[in-house]
Amino acid sequence: MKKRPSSPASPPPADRHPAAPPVAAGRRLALRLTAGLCLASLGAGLVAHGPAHFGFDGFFGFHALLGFLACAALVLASGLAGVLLGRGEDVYDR
Amino acid sequence: MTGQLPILTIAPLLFGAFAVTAGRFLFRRANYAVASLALAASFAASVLLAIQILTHGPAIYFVGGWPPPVGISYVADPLSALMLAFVSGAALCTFLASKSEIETSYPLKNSAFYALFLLAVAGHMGIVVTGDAFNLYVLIEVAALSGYAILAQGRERAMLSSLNYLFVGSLGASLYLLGVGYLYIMTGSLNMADLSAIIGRLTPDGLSGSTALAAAWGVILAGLFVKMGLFPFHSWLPAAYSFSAAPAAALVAPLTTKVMAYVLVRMILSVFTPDAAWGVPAINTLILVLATAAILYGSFCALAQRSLRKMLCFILLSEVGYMVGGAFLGNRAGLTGTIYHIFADLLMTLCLFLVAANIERGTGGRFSDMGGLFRRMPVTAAALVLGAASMIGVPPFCGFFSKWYLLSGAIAAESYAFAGALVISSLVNAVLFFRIFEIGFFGAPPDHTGQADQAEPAGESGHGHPGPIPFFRDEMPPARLAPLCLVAASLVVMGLLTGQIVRLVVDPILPPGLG
Amino acid sequence: MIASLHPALPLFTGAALTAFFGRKTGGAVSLAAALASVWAVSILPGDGGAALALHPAGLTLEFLRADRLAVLFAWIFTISACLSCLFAFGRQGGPERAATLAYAGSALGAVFAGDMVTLYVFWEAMALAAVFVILAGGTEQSRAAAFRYALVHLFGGVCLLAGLVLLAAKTGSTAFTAALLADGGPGSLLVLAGFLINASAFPFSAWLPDSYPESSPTGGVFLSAFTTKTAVYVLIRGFPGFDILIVAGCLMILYGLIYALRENDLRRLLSYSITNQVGFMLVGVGIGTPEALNGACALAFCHILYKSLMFMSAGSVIAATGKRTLTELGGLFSAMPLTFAATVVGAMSLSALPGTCGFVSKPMVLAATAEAHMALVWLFLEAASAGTLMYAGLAVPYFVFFGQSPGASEASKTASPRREAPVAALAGMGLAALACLGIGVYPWPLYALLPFAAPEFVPFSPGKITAVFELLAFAGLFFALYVPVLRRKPGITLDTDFFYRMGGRLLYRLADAFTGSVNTAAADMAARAAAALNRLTAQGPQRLAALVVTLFFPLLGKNAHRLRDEAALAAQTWTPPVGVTLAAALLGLCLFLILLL
Repeated sequence: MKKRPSSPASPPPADRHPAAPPVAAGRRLALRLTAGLCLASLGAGLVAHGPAHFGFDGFFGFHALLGFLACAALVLASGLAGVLLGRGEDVYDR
Repeated sequence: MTGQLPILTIAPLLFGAFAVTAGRFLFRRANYAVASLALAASFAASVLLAIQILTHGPAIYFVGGWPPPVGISYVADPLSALMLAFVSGAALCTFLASKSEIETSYPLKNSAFYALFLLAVAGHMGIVVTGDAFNLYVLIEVAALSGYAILAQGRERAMLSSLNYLFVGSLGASLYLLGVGYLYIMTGSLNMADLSAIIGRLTPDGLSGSTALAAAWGVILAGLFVKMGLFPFHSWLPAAYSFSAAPAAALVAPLTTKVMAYVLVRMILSVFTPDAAWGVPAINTLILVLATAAILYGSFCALAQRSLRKMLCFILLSEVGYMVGGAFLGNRAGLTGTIYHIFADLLMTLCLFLVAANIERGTGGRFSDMGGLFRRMPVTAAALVLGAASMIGVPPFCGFFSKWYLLSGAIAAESYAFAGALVISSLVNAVLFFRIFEIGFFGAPPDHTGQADQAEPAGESGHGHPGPIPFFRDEMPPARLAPLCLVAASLVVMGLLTGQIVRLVVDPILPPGLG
Repeated sequence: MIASLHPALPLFTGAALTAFFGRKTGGAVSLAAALASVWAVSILPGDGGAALALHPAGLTLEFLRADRLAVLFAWIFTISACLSCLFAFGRQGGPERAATLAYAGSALGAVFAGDMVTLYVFWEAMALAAVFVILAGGTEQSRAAAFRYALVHLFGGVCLLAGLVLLAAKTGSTAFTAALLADGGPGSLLVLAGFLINASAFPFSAWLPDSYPESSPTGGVFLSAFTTKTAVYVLIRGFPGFDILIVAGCLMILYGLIYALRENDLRRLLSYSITNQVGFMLVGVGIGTPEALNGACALAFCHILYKSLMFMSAGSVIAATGKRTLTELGGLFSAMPLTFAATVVGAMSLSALPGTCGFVSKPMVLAATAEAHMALVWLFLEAASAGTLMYAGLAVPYFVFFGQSPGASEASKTASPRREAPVAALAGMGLAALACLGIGVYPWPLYALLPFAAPEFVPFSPGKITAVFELLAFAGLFFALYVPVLRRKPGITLDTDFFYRMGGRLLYRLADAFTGSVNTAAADMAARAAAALNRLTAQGPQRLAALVVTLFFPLLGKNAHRLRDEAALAAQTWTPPVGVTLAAALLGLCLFLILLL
C-alpha cells in the first residue's frame, strides 16, 4: 500500500538577496500583460456594452469593479474560513 | 391374545417377582436378567395394548372372568393405556440404568431389591389400569409398601425417613379406604363405572345432595393429597426421596406422585363427574390456594438446597402443585394441562433423577462437587440440560406445552395467583438450573473422581493429572447412559407430538361439554 | 439494423468482459464499449417514448425513456466515457476498468430510467461502482475514503428509497415525472434529499472532496463526470422550479469557492470546483423557466467536458510527478507543455472565457436569472464567476506549471528528463480540449440538443463578450497582484465531514463509556441481588419454620425458644417430625369436610 506523500515544510527561499527587487521579471511581465488586458477590456466596454439587466449594472466599468471587488471579498472570506477551520493535514489520522 | 393384554402388562411383573425371590438362592446371577425380562415383557405388552386401544378404542378386561360389579375389571382407555406404557417404560429405563448401582447399594440383597422393584412397578401399573375402587386401594398399598422397603436402604437417615413415609403414607391410604367405604355404603358397588352411574342417580344436583357422598369425596381428596405430597402434607417427601439410594429414588419419585395425580384425575372424571367434583366452589378455591402455595413453597425451598437430589425433590413438590391446581381450575384447558403434565413430568423427573444418580456416582451430588461437570460427564450434563430446559418450560420440550395448557386454563378461570405462581416457578427453575450450569461450566473440578470403593466404570479415561481435565473422565459407561439418553430424547419427541397426544389421548376422555 | 439498443448495455457488457484482458487489450475493450454506447445513443429514435419496459409483479419498470432531456445527457455521458477510456488507455487494472465502465453504465441507466424503481436500482449501482473506482486508488486512504463514500451514499439511497416507497404508497404510481414529485410532502422531500446528497449540496457535500482525490489518476476522471451530473439530471426532471434549489445552489457556489481558494491538494481543489459549478446548475434548475433549465443542461454538458479535461490534466501531473499538492508542484511547464495547454483550455472553459464552451453555457443561467428578475442572485453569480477565474482558472495553471514553490524546483528537475503524459492520455486531453474550444466557437449543435422549448440563446453579442471580458480581466489583475496571498499552504480546511469523522469516534467513545458503566453497574447490582437472594433462600426453610413456631409462642410457654430452634434445625436437615404431617393431614381433612358438608 502506498501512503500518500505528505508535503514538506516550506523552507524560506534561500536564493534571493534581501536587496533584490521585490518583483521578479516574469512577474512584472505578467502584471503588465494583465494591466494591458484590463485597459483593453475597459476600452471594449466603452465601445460596445450590453443592455443593463437591472438598474445598477448599467454604469461603465461595472463588471470590472465587480470582478475586482468580488475577488477581494472572496479572498477575505476564505482567509476567515482558514482562521476558523484550517487544520493540519493529519487532523483525521489520529 | 390381544384381549389378555391388560393383564399381561402386570402379570409378568408378578411372576417375575416370585421368580426372583425363588431364585434367590439358586440362580442369583440370573436374577437381574429375569427381572429385566419381566419388565421388558410388561413394557412390550403395554405398548401393544396402547397401540390396540388407540386404533380400536377402549377395552375392558375382567380379571378371572368375573363380570362387574362383582368382579374386578381392568379398563384400558387411551389415558390408562398410554400411562401403562409410560410407567413400564420408565421402570425399565431405571432398571437398566441402575444395574451397577443396585449391586453396590444393596449388597447381598439384590434379589430382594429386584422383587420389591417389580412389585412396586406392578402396583403402580395396576393403579393405572384398574377399574375397581377397592382394587385401587390394594394396589396403592402394594406399591407403597414395596416403595417403603426399597427406599429404606440408603444413606444416613434413609430408614428413618422411610419410616416417616410409612406412617404418613398409611394415613393417606387409610383415608382413601375410608372414602371408598363411604361410597360402598351409599352405592353398594365398587366398580368405578358403576359408581359413577349410581352417584349420578343419587345426587342429580351435585354432591351437596348427599352428606355421605360429599364426605366420601372430601376424605378421598385428603387421602390422595397426602399420598401425593401436596403442601402442607408433604414433609415426608423430600426426606424419603433424597436419603435413599439412587435406583430406588429414580423409580419411586417419578412414579408415585404422578400415579397419584392420575388417580385424582380418574376420580374427577370417571367416578365423580367433573360437575360433581367441582361443584363446591369453596373447595376448589381452597385447593387452588394449596396448589399455589405448593408451587411457591417448593420453589422457595429448592433455592436453599445445596445438593442435586434434594433440589429435585422440592421441584417435585412444585410439580405436584401444578397438577393439582390444573385439575381444580374447572375448565378443559386446565384438566388437559394436568393430564399432559402427568406424562411430561414423569419423563422430566425420570430424566433428572437418572442424571442425579449418574452425578452422585460419578462425582458426588453436592453442588460443590459438580465443578467442570460439562467436561467430565458430557453426556450426563447434556441430559441435565435437556431435562432442565423442559422443567423451565422451553419449547419444544414437553414441559413448555404443559405449562402452556395450565396457564391458559388459569387465565381462563381467572386464577391469576395460580398463573403467577406458574410463571414464578419457571423463573425459579431457571435460576436453579443455571446455577448448576454455571458451576458445571466454569467451576473447578474437585480433586477426587467419585467414591473409591466402587467398581471402576468402563468409560473412564485418564487419571487425575494437572492440566485441562480430559473429556469423559467421570462419565458413566454407555450401558448406563443409553436409557438416560433415550429418556432425554423422548422429552423433545413428546413435545413435538403434543398435538397428537392431546388429540388422541386427552380429548376422548374429557367430557365433550367441558368448557 | 437494431431498432434501439439501451446504451448502457455495451458499457455493462464491456465491464463484464474487460476484466479478462490485460492492460492494453482491456483498455481497448473498454474504449470499444464506450464507442459502442455512443453509437447506441446515436441510433436512438429522436423523441421516442419509453422503448423498453418490463412489468414484473405489478410494477412498471421503464428502462429506456429516451426523450430529449435524457438523450442530451446520454450523449455527454457516453462521449465523456469515450474520452476517459482513451485517457486511461493501458494504465488501468482490470477491476478499475470494470468498475469505471459499470459506473458509466449505471449512470446511463439512471438517465434513461422512466420510473423511480429503475432509477433507484441504477442509483445504487452507480454508488456501488463508484466505491470500487475509489478503492482502485490502492492506498489506505482510498479504502477509508471508499468506506465513507459508501456510508454517505447508502444514507442517500435510503432516503431515496424511503421517499419512493412513501410516494408509491400515497399515489400508487412510481413513474418518474415532475408531477409525481411536485407535492412537497414527506415522500418527495426524502427523494429530494437523496438527489441533493448525490449532487453534493452543502452540507452534504464533504464526500466529494473527501473521496475523489483518493482515486487513481485515471479513475478520478470517470468519477468527476457522472454522479453529480446524474443528480442534476434527476433534479431537472423531478424538481424543476423548486425555490429551495436556488438557495442550495448559491450555498454550494459559495462553499466551493471559499474552500477551493484555500485548498492545497490539486484534485481536492477541483472537487470543490465541481460543487461550485453544480451550484450554478442547481440555481438554473431552481429558477425553472425553460431558459434556465436549458442553461442548466448546457452547463452540465460543458462542465463534464471541461471538468474531465481538468481532472485529466491533474491526473497526468500526479502520475508524472507523484505529487498531489500545489505546495509541492510547480514549474512543470517545460516538462509538460502539452498538458499545460490542455490545462489552460480547461481552466479557461471553467472560467467561461469567450471562445470556450463555458462561455456559451454559463451565461445562459445568468441570463435566466436576470430575466427572472433575481437581482441579488444574479449579482452573486457574476461575482462567483469572477472568483472562479481566481481560484481555478488562473491558479491551477500557474501554481502547477509555473509558480516557483520552494519545493517545486526539485520536482521540475526530476520531471524534465522524463515525461509528458503518455500518448493516449494526450490524445484524450487533446480531444476534450478540442471539444471545449469547438463548442465554444460553434455552439449551435449543442443548442439543437437542448430539450426545453425556449427562445434561442444568443451567446455572441458584443455586450456580453465585453462584460465577461471586463469581469475576467480585472479578476485576473487581482490574481496577478495578490499571488503571494493566493499561494497555498499545507493543511486542510475542516469540512462538514468533520461531524461524521470525528463525531463517529466521539460517539464510539461515549457509547463505550456509557454502556460500559451501565454494564458494570448492572453486573454489580446483579451480583449483589443474587447474593442477597442467596442469603434469603439459603436460610429460607429454617426461618420459615422458626416463623411458624414464633406464631405459637404464647401457647408454648417456657419451651418456646427450644422448640423454635428445633424447628429450624428440623427444617434445615429435612427431618420434620411425622406428627406435624399427620396433624396437618387431619386438619386438612376437617377443613375439607367442613367446606363440603
